Amino acid sequence: MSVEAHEAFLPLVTAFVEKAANCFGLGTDDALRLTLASEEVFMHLCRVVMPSGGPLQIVCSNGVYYTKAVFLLQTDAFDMRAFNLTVTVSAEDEADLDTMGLVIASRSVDHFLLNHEQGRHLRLTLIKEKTYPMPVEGLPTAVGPLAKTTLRPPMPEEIKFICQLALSYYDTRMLSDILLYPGKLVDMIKAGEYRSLAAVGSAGEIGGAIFWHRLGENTDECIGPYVFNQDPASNIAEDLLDGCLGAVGRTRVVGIVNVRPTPEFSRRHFELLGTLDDYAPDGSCAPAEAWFRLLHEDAGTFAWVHPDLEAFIRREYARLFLPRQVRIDQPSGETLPRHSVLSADFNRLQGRATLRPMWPGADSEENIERHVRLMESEKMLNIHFILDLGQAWQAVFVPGLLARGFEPRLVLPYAGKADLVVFQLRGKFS
Amino acid sequence: MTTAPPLEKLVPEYVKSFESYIPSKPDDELKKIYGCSKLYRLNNNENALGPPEKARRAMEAFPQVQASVYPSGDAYQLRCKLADIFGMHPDQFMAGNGANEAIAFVIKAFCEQGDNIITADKTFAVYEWVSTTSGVEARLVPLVDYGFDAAGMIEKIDERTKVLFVCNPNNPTGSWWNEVKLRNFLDRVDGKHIVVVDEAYREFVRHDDFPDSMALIREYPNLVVFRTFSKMYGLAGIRIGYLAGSMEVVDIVRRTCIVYSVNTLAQVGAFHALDDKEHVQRTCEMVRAGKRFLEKELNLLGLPFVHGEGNFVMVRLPISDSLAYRKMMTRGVMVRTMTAFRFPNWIRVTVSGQDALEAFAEALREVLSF
Repeated sequence: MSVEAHEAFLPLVTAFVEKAANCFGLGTDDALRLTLASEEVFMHLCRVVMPSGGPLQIVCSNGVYYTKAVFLLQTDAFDMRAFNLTVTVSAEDEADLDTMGLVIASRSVDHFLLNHEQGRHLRLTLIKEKTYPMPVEGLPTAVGPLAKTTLRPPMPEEIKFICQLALSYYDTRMLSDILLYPGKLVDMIKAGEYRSLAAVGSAGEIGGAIFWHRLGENTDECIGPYVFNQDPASNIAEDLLDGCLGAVGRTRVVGIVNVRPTPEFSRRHFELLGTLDDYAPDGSCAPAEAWFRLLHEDAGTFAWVHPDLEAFIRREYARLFLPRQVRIDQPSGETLPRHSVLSADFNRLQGRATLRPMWPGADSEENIERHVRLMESEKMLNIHFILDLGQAWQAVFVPGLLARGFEPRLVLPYAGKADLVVFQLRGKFS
Repeated sequence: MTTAPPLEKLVPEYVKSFESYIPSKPDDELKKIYGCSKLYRLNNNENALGPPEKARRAMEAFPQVQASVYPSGDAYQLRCKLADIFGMHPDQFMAGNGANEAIAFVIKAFCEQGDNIITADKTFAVYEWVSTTSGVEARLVPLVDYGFDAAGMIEKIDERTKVLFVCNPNNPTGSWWNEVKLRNFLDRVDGKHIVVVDEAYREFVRHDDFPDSMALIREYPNLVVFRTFSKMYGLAGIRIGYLAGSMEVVDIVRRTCIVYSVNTLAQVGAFHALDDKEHVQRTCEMVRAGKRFLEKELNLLGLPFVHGEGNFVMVRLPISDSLAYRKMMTRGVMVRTMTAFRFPNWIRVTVSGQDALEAFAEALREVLSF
């Protein structure tokens, strides 16, 4: 929808978003939350960002398991501070009131994304997911060893059954989040966001499964393989992995990572990127390995690296034989926006939280500190920060990360614009 | 300020879902990236001996002023020569800017959206790529014992099947169908669909029962044969290949071709390359010797390998093929990783000159012992 940034058009905007969300299958409550967020964003744009009006585009689209509302406009006057999870507003302060709407918006949706492209194009994305139930408790029918299996994509009902099997045969901490919500996984596969293969016996028994999805622009993440009560000498895990590699091998995807490998995952054909410390609520700590392999010949790329990170990056590139042009970069007195923005993803079930930079700012160090305090107060045991070496502006966060006790732990090749660096906050149990 | 074009509306759905092919960087860039001073190219099955002597001389004598004149739009002289060699009519041949272009011409000529082509899952990827980018389904049949599965391909045929592609010998496994097998396949197809036999590596084969596909065209007018000058004849850099078929079929394909896509120098090189029998002999000897050397080295390393006909050997590694590639590149040896061919953890190495193969063997030993 194209609309003028004027309050008079608010009913049109809210009706558009609500109708779209309803049509795309969002439940009533979820649709209202997305509508509320859109209303607040639109009003903020009208009052604060574009007080003289101007053209604005709103695009709603159906992601099957979510509805997305994207606001497209041209501006460089947008203060993103309100999109930080940690921001607080005071009803006494008039400046704060301006940001109140954005605070409400950011809390009403599951994800927001900000992109400020060349030519002052601002793209603000609000995503509201459907609400899905957890799987019903109870052990499914046991699977016996299968003499022979063939690979094929599982049917929707089989995907849900695979989730039940995975919960029965694997520790929850080893499982990917996607297996915890079977209906959502079915929808994510239907949307084409995830793909999967199952090893199926002659009578339709499920012996194992593997999943994969795009992670960044050039990398897929492989999840599994999960093998259910099969002979350890069977080739099911290897077949699933080969099937996955065969499927992605002829795509643009450059590499594939597995950050939560199962015991059946064939490590010999992958490279160890590093380990994270995975703390459990009982105080125990287990290493969580991250593995990867490239799918094509590596033609090299560049990496914007803060000097404080240079030694780690060069060491990892040399160890992994990754051809990279390292470009040293750090803030050199240029004017930065006042407020940085971080996005935060929580997995409360597994006590994990991940921060990502969304916007640079002069307050990056304090912003990291605020987010860490919030996550610690919410009993997150594993706090990660992911930095994209393909985006020079993200280097501004490095001093703050190191000062706050984050350690660079591993490099994920080609998982962002270029390689990603995963930092982990030194845990209290270490 | 101009706005971006509405690509969502402009781009067909089947193109949106397709991913562009990213070719490797030029040698000098790769040497810089990987820090090696010399680079042995063992990734593209090129001929280390280069073009035949007669083709070189003809290209050296090519008058530069001729560059301003359009080439023969249909490679007339080359087609006449091929007709003489194979005892066919010139109109039964069509040249293309490499065999890849011939693949595109055939798919364009016979397929529309909703149609399908049938080929193997682990073979030359361009049949699959071109069909997918054309909105045509590629039905892929798993190899059996590293070879094309004739029965499996027949089973996949339906009323929307237009073309069946057989790579003979198969790249990258080197497996091949003999004449009996090809005839049986053609009999079962029963003239109802186009059968393309891609013989890019045919000149490396020294078996008497390898099919004489050109002769089979007389009996099977639905048969189309692809040949290239990129492999045996060492003209990969100037891009020229051709197809042959019945007059009727080639006439249809010609309607889709791009006139003038084959440049004059390529036509001159190809024309004279065909005269140089000694070059074929020397290349085959080099490949035979190279394969003997590689067999010995790979056996010493205890690595499984597969090779049949063609100037390449496929090797299974105990590590990721892409890791092996990166490590070998730092030692100045470039191989082809095979994950994109659906052979994860295999590499394909071109059987080249002795110095290159020794460099390969040494690099492989180092990489595996590292």
